[in-house]
Amino acid sequence: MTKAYDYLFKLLLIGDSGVGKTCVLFRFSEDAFNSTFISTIGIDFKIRTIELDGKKIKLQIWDTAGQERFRTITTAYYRGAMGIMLVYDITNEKSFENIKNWIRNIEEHAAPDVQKMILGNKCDMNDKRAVSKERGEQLAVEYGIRFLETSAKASYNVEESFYILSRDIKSHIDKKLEQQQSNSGGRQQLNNNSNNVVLSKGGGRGAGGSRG
Amino acid sequence: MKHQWATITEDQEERFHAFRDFKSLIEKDVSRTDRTLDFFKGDNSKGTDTLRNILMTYMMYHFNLGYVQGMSDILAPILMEIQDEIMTFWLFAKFMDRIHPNFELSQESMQKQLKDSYMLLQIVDPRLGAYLDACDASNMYFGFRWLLIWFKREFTYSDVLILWESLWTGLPGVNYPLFVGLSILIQNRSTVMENKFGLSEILRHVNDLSMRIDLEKTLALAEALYRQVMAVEAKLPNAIRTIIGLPEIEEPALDNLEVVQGPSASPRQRKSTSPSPCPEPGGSNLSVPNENSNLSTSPDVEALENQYELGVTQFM
Repeated sequence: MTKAYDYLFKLLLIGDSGVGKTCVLFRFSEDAFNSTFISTIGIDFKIRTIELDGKKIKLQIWDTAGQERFRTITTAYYRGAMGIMLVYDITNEKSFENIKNWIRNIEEHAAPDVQKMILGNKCDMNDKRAVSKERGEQLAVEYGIRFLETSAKASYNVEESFYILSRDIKSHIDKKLEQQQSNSGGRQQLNNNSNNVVLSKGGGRGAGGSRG
Repeated sequence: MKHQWATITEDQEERFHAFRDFKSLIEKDVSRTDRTLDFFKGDNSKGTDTLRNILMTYMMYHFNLGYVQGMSDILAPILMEIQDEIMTFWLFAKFMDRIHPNFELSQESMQKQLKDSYMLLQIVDPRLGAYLDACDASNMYFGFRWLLIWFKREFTYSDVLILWESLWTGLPGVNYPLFVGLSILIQNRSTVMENKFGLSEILRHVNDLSMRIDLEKTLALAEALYRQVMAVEAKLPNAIRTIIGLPEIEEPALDNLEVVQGPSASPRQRKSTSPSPCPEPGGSNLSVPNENSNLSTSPDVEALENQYELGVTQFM
C-alpha cells in the first residue's frame, strides 16, 4: 500500500497571547488571512503536506493558547514535537522578552533534539515596531537557532519559515538514521513513514500515534 | 470600581505592570471576541466598548484573578442579551463566582474536572473509556475548551444562553457540565471508534464539532447519563460519589476503590487497552478507579451498559 506521505513531522507554535500564532498557521495552511480571528483556547492543529527533496512530508502543526496559566495543558503536547516555532510580535516588546521563557519551557518539556526557530511576526506593522530586526537576530544567534521576520497578513516569509524548519528536521532525521544504520549494521526500514517513530525520544509515541 | 481603572494614567501604568499586562490582554481579546456579530463590530462600537469596560472593572473587582483568556467568551453572550453595563457586570461577576476556579493560575480545578469526566465516562461508557485510554486520550484534554467556558464556543448564542440558564439552576446535580461534555462525546462515539481515530484525530474532530451540535439532543442525553449513574448510586465508589455531590459512604468492601495514581497501579487496564504503555503527557494527573473496584465486572454495570446502549439508540 502506498502512503500519502513519506514523513510525518509534528510541529508546534508557541509564544505569548496575541502574537499571531493562529494567523501564521492559517496563512500557511489555507494561504489566507482573516482579521476577525478568535483567541485559541486549549489546543488545535492543522495539516499541510509539502514536498522536500522529492519526499512528501505531512506537517501536523499544533497551535497553542498563549496565556501562561494554560501551559499545563499545552506542554502536554510538546511531547513528540519535532520542530517548534517560537513566535513574538515585533510591535510588542514583552512578547520578545518572553521568548527566553518559552525556550526554557521547551528545554523542560520537549525532546532535547527538537529543532527550533524564532519568528518575529507582524513585520508589516513597521510604524509600530518595538523590537528591531537586529535584536531578533541577536537573540537567535545567542541560542544558536534560526530567525525570520514574518507577516501572516502580508504573506511574507511564512511559507519560507515552515520550509526551513521542515528541512532542518529532515536533515536531522536523515543524519540520525545514517548513524543508527552504521551503528547497528542491520537494515533499518527506510522509505517508510515510521521513520519518525524510530527516532522519537522519550514517550516516543507522539508522532507515531497519529493514524492520519 | 470603574473609576479605579479609568483614572490610572499611562505614567502610572509604567509602575504597575500587573495592571498593564491585564489591560493589554483585555485589549487583545476584546478585539477578537465574536467580531463577526454586528454587536461587536469595530473597535469602538457600543458593544465592544462595554465589553472592554466590564472586563476592566472585573479585573479591579477580582484583581487576584485579573483577566484570563476565556472570560471575554463568558461575558459576550450575557452582554449582548442584557446590554446594560451595570446589570451585565453583576451577572457576569455572579457567574464568575461559580466558575472562577476554571481560570485560577494553578488550573487544578480544570485538571480535576477533566479527570472526573474520565471517571464518569468509565461508568457510563466503559468501552469508549477504554478506547480513549488506548489512544492516550484519557486525560480528556480535548474537552478543555468545553469545560473552561461552559461550551460557549460550541453553540450559537441563543443555544448557549439556554444551556447556561439550565446549568445555572444547579440541577439535577453538581458538576452537571461534565455530563453535558460526556453527552457530546458519546454522541460521537461511533465516529471516533469506527474511524479508529487517534489522539490527534479525536482532538480535531471535537474542535470541528463547534456550531454543529444539537443542543436538545445533548441535554436529553446528558440527563439520561446522569440518571443512569444515579440508578446505580448505591454501588458507586466514593470517588464517583463525591464528583456528583453524593455523601461518601462507609463500606469496607469499597475501601480500595479510592482513586489510585499512575500507570503501574492498574496493570490490567493498561494491558487490556494499550499495546505499548506510555507515560501520560501531564505526568501523574490521570487517575482511574482501581482494577479491584468490581466496576468492570459487576453485573449492574453490565446492565447499566445495556441500558446505556438503549439510551444511545433512543437519543441518537
